[in-house]
Amino acid sequence: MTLLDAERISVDLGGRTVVKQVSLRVAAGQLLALIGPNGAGKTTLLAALAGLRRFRGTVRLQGRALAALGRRERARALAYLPQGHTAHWPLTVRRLVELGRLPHLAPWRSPAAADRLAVEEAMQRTDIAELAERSFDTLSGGERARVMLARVLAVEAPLVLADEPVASLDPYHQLRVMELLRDYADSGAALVVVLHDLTLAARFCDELLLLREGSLVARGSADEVLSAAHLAEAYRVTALRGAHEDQRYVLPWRRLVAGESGET
Amino acid sequence: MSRAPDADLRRGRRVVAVLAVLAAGLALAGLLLGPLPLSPWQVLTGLIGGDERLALIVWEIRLPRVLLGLMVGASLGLSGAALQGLLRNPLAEPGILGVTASAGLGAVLALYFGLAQISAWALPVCALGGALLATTGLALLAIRDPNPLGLILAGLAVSSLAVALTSLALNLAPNPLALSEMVLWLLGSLRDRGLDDAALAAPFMVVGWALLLSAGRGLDALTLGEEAARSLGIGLGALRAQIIGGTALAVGAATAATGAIGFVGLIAPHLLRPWLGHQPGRLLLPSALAGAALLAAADLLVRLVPTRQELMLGVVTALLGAPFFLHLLLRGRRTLS
Repeated sequence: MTLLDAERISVDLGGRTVVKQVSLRVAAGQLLALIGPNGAGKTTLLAALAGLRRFRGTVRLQGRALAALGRRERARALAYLPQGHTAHWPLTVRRLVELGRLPHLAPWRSPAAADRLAVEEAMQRTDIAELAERSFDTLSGGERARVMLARVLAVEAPLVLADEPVASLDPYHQLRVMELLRDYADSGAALVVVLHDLTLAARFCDELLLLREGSLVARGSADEVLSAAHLAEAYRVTALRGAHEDQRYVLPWRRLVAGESGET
Repeated sequence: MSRAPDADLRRGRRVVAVLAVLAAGLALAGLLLGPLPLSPWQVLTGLIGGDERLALIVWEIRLPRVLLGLMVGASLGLSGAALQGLLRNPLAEPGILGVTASAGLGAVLALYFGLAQISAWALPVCALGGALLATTGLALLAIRDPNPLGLILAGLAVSSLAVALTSLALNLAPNPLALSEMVLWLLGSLRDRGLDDAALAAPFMVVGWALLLSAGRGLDALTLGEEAARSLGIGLGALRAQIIGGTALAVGAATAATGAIGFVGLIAPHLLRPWLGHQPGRLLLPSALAGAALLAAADLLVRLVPTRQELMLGVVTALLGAPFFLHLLLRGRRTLS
């Protein structure tokens, strides 16, 4: 079942078109990676899909136009994880995760049993239950990333849009977060995730979308998208590639200088 | 199911109950104590009008003072907590951001141009207009430049300008009587206020409180930043308008009634954070109660400390609040920049 259906999305920012006619679809159970060099428009596209940027084109959520949804309805249908994992006040972990329930709370009512349960489950899933009463400012980067992910999972939205959820994490926590995202997709959600690590994208995601200067360069499986020609065109690098345990890895190795082709 | 969230809720309710009792106790002390100490029985007699002299003291002097103290304190504490939440800045406060001084300027201009003589509503409305202008300007600035220290500096500039313009009006005051009346708005005080002053301020304040108290969830969501808050279904424009309007109403009416009283909005939320944590929504009601208690206590202090002339309340809160502000500034310097 297609959860998110975006057609010919364009976004203008400061007089420049930074996303150009990009279309994408995500179905329940699918993890889709949005990749591309810095400034390719990945974040802007993701924010547009979340309804946070003006865009041209149409976005349908479960068959209904994004623009037709009420604010709270939209907030229950899609959860958005911005870059950076910042909290402006040092709340406890549990309080932060509880914020994910805001779209579900009736005015003036305290959280119901279902809300408590969703919060507990999100904390279990991300393995932060023992941090529940810790203050956010005392956590390590890896812990913060998992807390923010738990906040997003607590929304219990069928669609999750995550912007660089593994940025600035050590390898252990990168794998950990990717496993969590994969696991959440396998439980029936649809996810769109912005990634910079090509191997993580290739290993954990069902489909890859490669952007460059706001336009779609390639879409499909890791084999199709991460070809030498595409890497040369979009990233201007050559890469080492191989496979281990039936999974592909791609290791960017050398910059291309003008005129060189990506063949290795 | 974990017990922790329930314990947390209970603790919040306990703090609210303690603060309410504290504010009520200080208010009662305000009725009992003064140049002529009264017994609770005498206050009661005065309240029901059993004795003319007692009735005069209670109804004309002490009750308005105590009531206004609670109302103004609650307005300032609540506005401080709400502004800190909206601007995500622990140093935000109506006084420091120049909202109070702008409201005072509005009040002084209403007096200077004789508008206050035309209608009793002119003064609070002009004060409110001043507060609204300052709050809107600062919120616009905060949208453009999220640097917290930059905002505080801009607030100080707004405050200096409003004080300078107020002083200019004083300088050019037509007569000494007008001058003495206008000085009050620079140095706030609860002295010589009547029940009609409280009644005039009350409707504005109540609407302001309602706006601010109902913003809790939106302020909580802002903890995660603006984009995340919007993705959680919070309308940012409406939330900003709510806080700006609520602050203008509450602080405008408070300043119109008692003049500029600073730092209550800074101190109240800060005193509560060790008990209640940093969640902005959970600090709103307790900050209102703490503000009321703080101002009631400060006013008791002013009345009971024997000085040749009664100290101005605004001077006392500034004497206590400014070092506190400095302390926060030095302590938070690293995290703020």
